[in-house]
Amino acid sequence: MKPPLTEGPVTGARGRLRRPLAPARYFGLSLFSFLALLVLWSLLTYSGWVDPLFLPPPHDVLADGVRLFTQEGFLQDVAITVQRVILGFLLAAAVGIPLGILIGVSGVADALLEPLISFARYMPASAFIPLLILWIGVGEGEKVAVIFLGSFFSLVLMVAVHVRGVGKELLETAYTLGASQGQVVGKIILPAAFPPIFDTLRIVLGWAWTYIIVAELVAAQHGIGHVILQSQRLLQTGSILVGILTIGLIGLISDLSLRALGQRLFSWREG
Amino acid sequence: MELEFRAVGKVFSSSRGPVEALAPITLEVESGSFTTLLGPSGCGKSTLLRLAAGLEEPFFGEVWAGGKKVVGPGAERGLVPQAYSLLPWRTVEENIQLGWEFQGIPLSRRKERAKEFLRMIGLEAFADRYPKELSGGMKQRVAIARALANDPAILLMDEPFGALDAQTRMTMQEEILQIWQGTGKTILFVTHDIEEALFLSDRVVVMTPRPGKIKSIWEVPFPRPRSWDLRFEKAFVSLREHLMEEIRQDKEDKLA
Ligand SMILES: Nc1ncnc2c1ncn2[C@@H]1O[C@H](COP(=O)(O)OP(=O)(O)O)[C@@H](O)[C@H]1O
Ligand SMILES: [Mg+2]
Repeated sequence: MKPPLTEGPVTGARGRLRRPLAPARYFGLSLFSFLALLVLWSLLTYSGWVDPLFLPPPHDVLADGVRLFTQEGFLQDVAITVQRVILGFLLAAAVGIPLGILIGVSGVADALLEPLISFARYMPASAFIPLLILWIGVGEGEKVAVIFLGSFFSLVLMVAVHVRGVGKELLETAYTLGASQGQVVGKIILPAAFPPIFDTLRIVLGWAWTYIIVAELVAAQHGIGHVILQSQRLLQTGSILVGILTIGLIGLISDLSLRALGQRLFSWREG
Repeated sequence: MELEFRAVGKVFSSSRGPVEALAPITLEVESGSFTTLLGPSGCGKSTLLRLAAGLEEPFFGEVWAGGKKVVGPGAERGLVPQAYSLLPWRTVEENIQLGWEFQGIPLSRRKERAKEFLRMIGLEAFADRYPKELSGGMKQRVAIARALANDPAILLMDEPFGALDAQTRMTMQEEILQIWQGTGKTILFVTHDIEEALFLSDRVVVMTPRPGKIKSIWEVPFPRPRSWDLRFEKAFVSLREHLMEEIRQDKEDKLA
């Protein structure tokens, strides 16, 4: 962004890849892409190219949103879904992170668990929903279990990868300073693997949202997925869109806040 | 004898079969001495140092340190790795305290003693900085202070100044001599720089590759304390030329 020191022609382009933008410019461009989407939507709908039954215009969707939130208690549904996501996500993290660390540091745990978990990972969590309903019914336990199954196995494997990625020279330095194995895990491996694990959690949180909506579409009395399914039965396309947009908005907000938190926590990171 | 290599050899197994990194080596390092391993890259200097640190297991022979057989790494044998290996999430001060944390020394004592080491390396003003904010020379100072803070009997240094510019390198060489004279540690130092080896050491161990072995051992007679202008003295220049010849010969043997 600096102006060139000399007037007139210059030579030699600077490398531009991966150069961070100024915050204002970043925000401006991001906003632009959202506005572009809105303009496209308006063009398609107000021009009459698309049947409002398939895609209602923005102001209709806005009106549906106001109605849902003010008259139909949609906020309640949102709260229930958020609660399920947080519960399932926290449970997967609380069990998955320690297990991933164990697999990452112990050859025995690796041999015992990693192949098993890799196998389990390929079984789609959504296919387990009928089985889970059979086992534990359609209550909150089933919802949380779907999220857990959907995110847990991959989370464990990714944590193990991050733990193994901690530089050998850091571990060796600790040993030559007299560290015990427990101290190496606590003071070297955990803090070193924490930033990539944190990034992984951000991604896993996104999956949790996908799985909860699937679970709520299949069987639920409350929640965003339930509202979406009800709206489909009543051909209320606008309400479906409100549900989807709400999920997107919550996802965006939580992801941005986690990203900001990560940047604060890991300001020591190089580059 | 502070450190002894008793017919120590190392064979690595690799995907292309066994690699003989070190033919059996016997070497004694006296307590309080400054010994340097000198030789071209690939002659097994790092391997020998890592064997002393207990980070590699000998294939043949044994390593003894402080009258005990080495079976693994330990705080009495400190290591200053070539790549600094500072913990990036810890400040300078917290990096220096690392060994004390492992020993369970309480925070208040650690903070107090860290000041002493920060002063020693001239980085008091940088106590709260993270490694990414430091220059190469500063990082190396922190790595040295971190190893010294643990008060090891033996300090193992693997090309610690290899990545520094010539000027910083010379400053660091003088500093390490001062520290060594102040603390009386036994130092085993690795370099491929002849002048550095001569300037620092009591004894220079010349090594040759394929497989790594000791070619000759040179006593360095220059009185201490030494200062940088030693490099221009006749005796120094002449010894340097002899050593150069020794290493050059080795390369010619390889070509023949
Ligand atoms: N972990 C390893 N596995 C296989 N070969 C190795 C390993 N470490 C070192 N070597 C080999 O041993 C020889 C000596 O290496 P090293 O001790 O690093 O030499 P130097 O430090 O003198 O450059 C080299 O040929 C190197 O390729
Ligand atoms: Mg080396």
